[in-house]
Amino acid sequence: MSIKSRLTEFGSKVQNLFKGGGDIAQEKQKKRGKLTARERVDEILDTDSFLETDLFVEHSSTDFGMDRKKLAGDGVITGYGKINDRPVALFAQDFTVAGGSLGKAHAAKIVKVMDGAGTKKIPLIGINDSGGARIQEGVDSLYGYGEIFLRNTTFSGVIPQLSLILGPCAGGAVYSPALTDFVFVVEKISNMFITGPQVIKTVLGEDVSPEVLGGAKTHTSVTGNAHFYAQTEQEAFGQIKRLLSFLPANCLEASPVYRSAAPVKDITDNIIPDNRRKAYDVTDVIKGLVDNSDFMQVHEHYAKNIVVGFARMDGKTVGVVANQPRYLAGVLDVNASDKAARFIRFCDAFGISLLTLVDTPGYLPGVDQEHAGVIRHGAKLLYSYSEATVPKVTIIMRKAYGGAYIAMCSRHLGASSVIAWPTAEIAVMGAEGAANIVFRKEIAASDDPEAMRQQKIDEYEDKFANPYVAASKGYVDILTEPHKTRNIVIKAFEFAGVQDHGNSFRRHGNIPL
Amino acid sequence: MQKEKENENELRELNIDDTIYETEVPASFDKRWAPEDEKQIKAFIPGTIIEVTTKAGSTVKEGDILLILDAMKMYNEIVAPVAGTVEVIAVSAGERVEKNQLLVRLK
Repeated sequence: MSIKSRLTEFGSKVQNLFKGGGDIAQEKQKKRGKLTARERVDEILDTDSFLETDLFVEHSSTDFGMDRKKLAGDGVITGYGKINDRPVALFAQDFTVAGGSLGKAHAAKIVKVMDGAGTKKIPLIGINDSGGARIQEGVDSLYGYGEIFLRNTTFSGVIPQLSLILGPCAGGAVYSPALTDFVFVVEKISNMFITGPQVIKTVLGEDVSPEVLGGAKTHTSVTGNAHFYAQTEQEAFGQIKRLLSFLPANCLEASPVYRSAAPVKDITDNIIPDNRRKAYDVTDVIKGLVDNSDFMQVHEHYAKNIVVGFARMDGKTVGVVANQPRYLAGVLDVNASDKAARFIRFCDAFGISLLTLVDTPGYLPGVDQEHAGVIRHGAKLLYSYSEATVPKVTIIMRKAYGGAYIAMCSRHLGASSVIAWPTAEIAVMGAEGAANIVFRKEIAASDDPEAMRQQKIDEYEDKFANPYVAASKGYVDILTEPHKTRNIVIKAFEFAGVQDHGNSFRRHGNIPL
Repeated sequence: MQKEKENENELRELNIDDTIYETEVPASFDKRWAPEDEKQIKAFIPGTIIEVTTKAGSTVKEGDILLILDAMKMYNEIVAPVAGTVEVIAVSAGERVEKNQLLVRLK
């Protein structure tokens, strides 16, 4: 064979492999409103940065007529590329090839690129679009999933792992994304569930559409399984690029540092309403504190009573955790604790400083909450803040009552600096509740119990609904006005060292789960 | 889902420790917990009644088998959660039952 014919043969092989499952299947994929796997890789990576590996890998299964089936790339594209000039590893399942089903060779390609990401210590992006296990390959596909889960876990906290769900992701397959740090879903395209609508209908008689059971909205607002919601695939790619700009490549490196930039709109001293019962949107406060007012919320539609996300202060990434008075008065509950704890642990794993904004009346009362295990889940928040060794700066804006005061990164849980505004109320509970308990006898014995109650509430408020009692004991380090807060926070982070609990000999702690 | 939408951005009063806050409250928050009636034994899963092993008027102890429900490829023993007298048996052998359908009521 001449060199020329060898090259021609090679060219036509590549051309064929690039077609994935062929023209008809590709058309079908587009008709579903989805990009092809190769288009996705091209759009997510910097132009011409993709280095593909294992394009020529083939499966070796022979049962059920598989020996006669050629599957391009065995249904998955793998390799390395750059996003905003920073290297990443990625895989993209190709639904047009045998439904993106996962067999042994398919899994081996993913495992190889995961190992590559682990040794190069660069972020891993997984694009999931697969019907699930390749049944024809039997237990080999289960082996494949297991090998992937193992790596998702051992690389957790070493490199950031991002999962895009761009098609079905059902059964055991959901657990790879679930083990990663951030999950991105797209309206009408993403579906995730352990058992699908058909099985549920058969077994339980419950009639539910795939969208309602495990669509993009469900997972971002009801289950919290996904962190970012997008209307289109392109929007999700944009979110991934933006998120990566806040993150380091691995746990040993620092996040990229940007030029420090003032907020678009500084906060004024009347950022929070006069009446302490009135709601406001805490994201306005966050945007008034951080560089460029650029704040990327994580889990925006889930457990909205707490806000978490990434921003920069003086050019450096910070993870922000804030009570949201606009929603359920900013109470802590089961879901809010889970959401915040997971975020805090991510930040701590990757050396990202934590900025906490406090305005919460406490924990949500109710049988539902108690039975849902608010004790166990609430403990995660305490655990993750206490465990975190990164610089932790806390701003107490208004209410910081009782157990919720302790939980929201108080001095007592190892905050590097606690800053409070003159509007702060650091107390064991709100004035109304405290007066009703402490002065119960006086109120009951009074000729005018209502007037007496109000008098006692006012007394309590005067004495305790302020930051000065806590500051007098050193529980608050710095008192300042809202408009000076940004500069003080920047200094506080600058002077905060990384903590060392002195227990690095332990294997790991036992976080309440 | 629709109802949740309507309530969005609407501020309501919420009492936490005797302080009334104005804030958004999701529709799901209005569901109130009610104690379960242990004497009403309902199907926890849809399936088929294989056998009824008790009779109306019988006295049963906690844990006594009342009937067998075939579901999820298993014969599930439905037992008395508390002691009592069988007041009503609402199903018979061979009958297909829906989830949450009343099977037996104790007195």
